Amino acid sequence: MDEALQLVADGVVVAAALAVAAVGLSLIMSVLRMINVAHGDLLTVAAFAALVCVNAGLPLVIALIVAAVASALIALGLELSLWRRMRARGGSNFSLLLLSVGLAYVVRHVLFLIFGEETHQYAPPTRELAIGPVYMTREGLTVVAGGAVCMIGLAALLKWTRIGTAMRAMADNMDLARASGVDVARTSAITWVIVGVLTGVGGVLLGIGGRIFPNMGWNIILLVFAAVVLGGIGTAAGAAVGSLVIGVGQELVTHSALGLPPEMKQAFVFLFLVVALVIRPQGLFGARRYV
Amino acid sequence: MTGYIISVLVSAGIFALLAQGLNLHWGYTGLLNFGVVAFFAVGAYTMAVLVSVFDWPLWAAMAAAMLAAAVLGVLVALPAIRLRSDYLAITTLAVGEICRIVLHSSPGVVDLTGGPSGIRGYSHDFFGLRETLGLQWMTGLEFLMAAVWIVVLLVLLVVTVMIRSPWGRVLKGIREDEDAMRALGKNVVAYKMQSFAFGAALAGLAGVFFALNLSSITPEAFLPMISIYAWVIILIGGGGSLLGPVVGSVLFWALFNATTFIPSEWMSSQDAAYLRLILVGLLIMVMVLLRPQGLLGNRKELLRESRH
Amino acid sequence: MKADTELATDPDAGATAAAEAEAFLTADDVVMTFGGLRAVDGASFDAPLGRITALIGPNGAGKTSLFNVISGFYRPRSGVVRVNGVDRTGKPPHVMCRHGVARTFQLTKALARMTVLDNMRVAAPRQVGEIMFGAMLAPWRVRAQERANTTRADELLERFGLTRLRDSYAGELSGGQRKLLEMARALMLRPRMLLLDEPLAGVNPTLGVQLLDHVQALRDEGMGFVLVEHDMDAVMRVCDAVTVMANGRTIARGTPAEVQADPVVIEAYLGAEDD
Ligand SMILES: Nc1ncnc2c1ncn2[C@@H]1O[C@H](COP(=O)(O)OP(=O)(O)OP(=O)(O)O)[C@@H](O)[C@H]1O
Ligand SMILES: [Mg+2]
Repeated sequence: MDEALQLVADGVVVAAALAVAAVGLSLIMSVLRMINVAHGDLLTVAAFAALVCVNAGLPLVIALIVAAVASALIALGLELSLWRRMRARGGSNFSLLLLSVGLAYVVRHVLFLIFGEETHQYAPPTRELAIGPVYMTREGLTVVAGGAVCMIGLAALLKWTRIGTAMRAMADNMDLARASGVDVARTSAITWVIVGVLTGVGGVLLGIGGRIFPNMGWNIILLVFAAVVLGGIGTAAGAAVGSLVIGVGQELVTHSALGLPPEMKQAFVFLFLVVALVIRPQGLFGARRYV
Repeated sequence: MTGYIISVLVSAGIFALLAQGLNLHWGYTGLLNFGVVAFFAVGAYTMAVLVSVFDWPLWAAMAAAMLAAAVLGVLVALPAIRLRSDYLAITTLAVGEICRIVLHSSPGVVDLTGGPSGIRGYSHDFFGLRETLGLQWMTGLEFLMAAVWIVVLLVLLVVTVMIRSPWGRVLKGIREDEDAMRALGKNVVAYKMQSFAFGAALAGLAGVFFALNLSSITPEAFLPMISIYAWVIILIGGGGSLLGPVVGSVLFWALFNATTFIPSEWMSSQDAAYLRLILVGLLIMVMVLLRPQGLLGNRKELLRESRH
Repeated sequence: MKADTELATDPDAGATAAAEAEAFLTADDVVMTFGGLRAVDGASFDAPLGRITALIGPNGAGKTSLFNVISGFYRPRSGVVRVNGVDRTGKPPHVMCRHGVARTFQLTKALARMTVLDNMRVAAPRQVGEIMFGAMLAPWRVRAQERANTTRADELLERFGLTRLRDSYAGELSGGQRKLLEMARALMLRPRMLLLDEPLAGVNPTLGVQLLDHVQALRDEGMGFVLVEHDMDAVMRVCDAVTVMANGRTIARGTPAEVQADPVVIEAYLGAEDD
């Protein structure tokens, strides 16, 4: 039982970072109907941006802010230079997807070229604290807190701000939104900025909870997709629930009672993703398109 | 220089087969398959295991490899073929990863595949053929190159006949508009399954030659990167053109392997490898942005994209 | 009593007899919903062979949705679709097609990156070459069928004035030409009943008249048609019977003259225009 609880706790930490990563991907899928395969590698860029700051002696909080701003600027830059142009030329969702595959390769291997293969950490890990029956590190707690703040903040933004309403309108029905006076170009750009900030924070949280290396984002992109698909596209709550299922689920399958090698855990998550996509493409929880 | 040309032609032949499989899926039927590596891996491993563990003759193992890949194709397609196209892409990407992880560490499977240490000793039969046929004047690699390209041409012939037949016309119709084809009385799901199985079998055949080109195969040889290479090749050659995968593959590997000419004083071989992959990414982006129909594709056939 | 024994010994004869008694195609109390919206809300109609039955109604009445149910694209919530007296409710489109019911689409579905000729030939039913490896196993039969199908396609293209465009990509055609192509393509199937969803929309008037002439000629040869059309003059001129839909329901049926005079129908149209 203690082993199971510990696995759940580990899973929650994974889920917190995953949720922040997932909700960004999910927003782009719902508002702009694009599957951004480069999302994982943009998370990596943010993690490395923070690493550079930390190595320069800046405190981690400042590094986080720098990473978020840099990531937002990159996202906006890509929207203005690539995605928007592609959409204006009538490029299909599929050509956007392919373009993002190309971008993913470029970004990841530029990182390899600059930083090499080694793995890095922001700081040496701290001692584990006993919280009730489970052990958690300070880093783990930070990730859970950071993830919760992001998800609640985003949910509030979507629900109560004007831009949130515009985003939901676009997610619901692009033509109707345009007809009822939503400035589609501006809303798209702001969506990318918001997603950029989330990507920045998500990348740094992933780095805090684990290690920083050029493949870190690519390695989890399928998990992120799985979380989005499970939770349902376009909602903060959906991404959170999906991430919890994925994060906790993949830790639990390593329970010693099952006797599976730990490398198999991802195979199970992917299998889960396939099954989820096939039986309920609109997500196991949450409605299809509404935020 | 001849070393470069032969290595390019070997890889190009293998990947022309793989890309021809993807061409059937995407170019002719409109199915977004991002996991051709799964069929490639199943083909390679089926042949390797049957030959080295069960002592099957090579030709039988090859046929079994294609069959196994086709069966996996049907198993994947059975639930997934009705999915929205972008979800099919993610599903197939995940299937590719599941295959790799299962080959790497699934209990039961690793007893046959050797897990992370891989499998070897399956290629004697193939290279032994060289003596049987009295072709000792060829190096092993040259022999492989010749064999691969004979198969590439045979496959091209078969695919050409099939695509130009009414069967191929139905596939193209499905690519254009599924609902129209359903209204015309075609059983769309059945055709998609056939296309998926056939393309998967070709990918499995490609996997056989891929394995023969290596003295051993490990799961790490079957990263999602392989599927991406196939996509780049289709993008270069143009989806839905019969020669596209062949020409695309030759150009891709000529460019890809050209980075071996970068002098080592300029760049370590590791960095050159990264540079190569940056190039792959840039190539995808440039092709999508500038020539979405590929080098051999027909401009007119793009009308649809510009209308939507 | 006598009828009963006949039915028991010869079910086919029974079916034919029933089909003669009722129409070839019938929809009975069909309900079809999109989420909460009842797009078709208890609609019934029938269409016999050798007749042109019009299905009219204001925009959003549910005509296209009803077509989608009949042709097997949507599953109805409830209700029955019968072809030739046999219940075929919820059968997939390719099966409905095999039972002789074909359709065209309101928003045309040209196969854009295929030539006009291939758009036609792909529609031909029962092609040996459509079986996987068929072209390799029986190349001569496939070639003979292909020649026959090409001849028939050329005849139909000629009839619809599309011969000139035979080798163009369908994506290059204008909206009106696509409508014509779609109807010609559906005729390749040699259906017994053809559902036409606004075949005249976007077609130039001269061609439109010709198109209706073809429809009437085919009707005289015994084919049945269901025609959804907003052009009332055309409907009143060529149709043998009219069914009127509003808000998902059939509200009237009869001869063109009867329907035109029906106050319920006038009300429905005026009501819709008020919105
Ligand atoms: N795919 C869909 N999803 C949701 N609602 C739909 C869909 N298709 C149609 N509807 C709705 O169902 C109702 C009936 O539509 P339908 O297209 O069947 O009408 P129609 O009689 O063919 O109209 P028109 O003359 O404009 O073609 C309308 O209210 C329409 O908005
Ligand atoms: Mg309609």
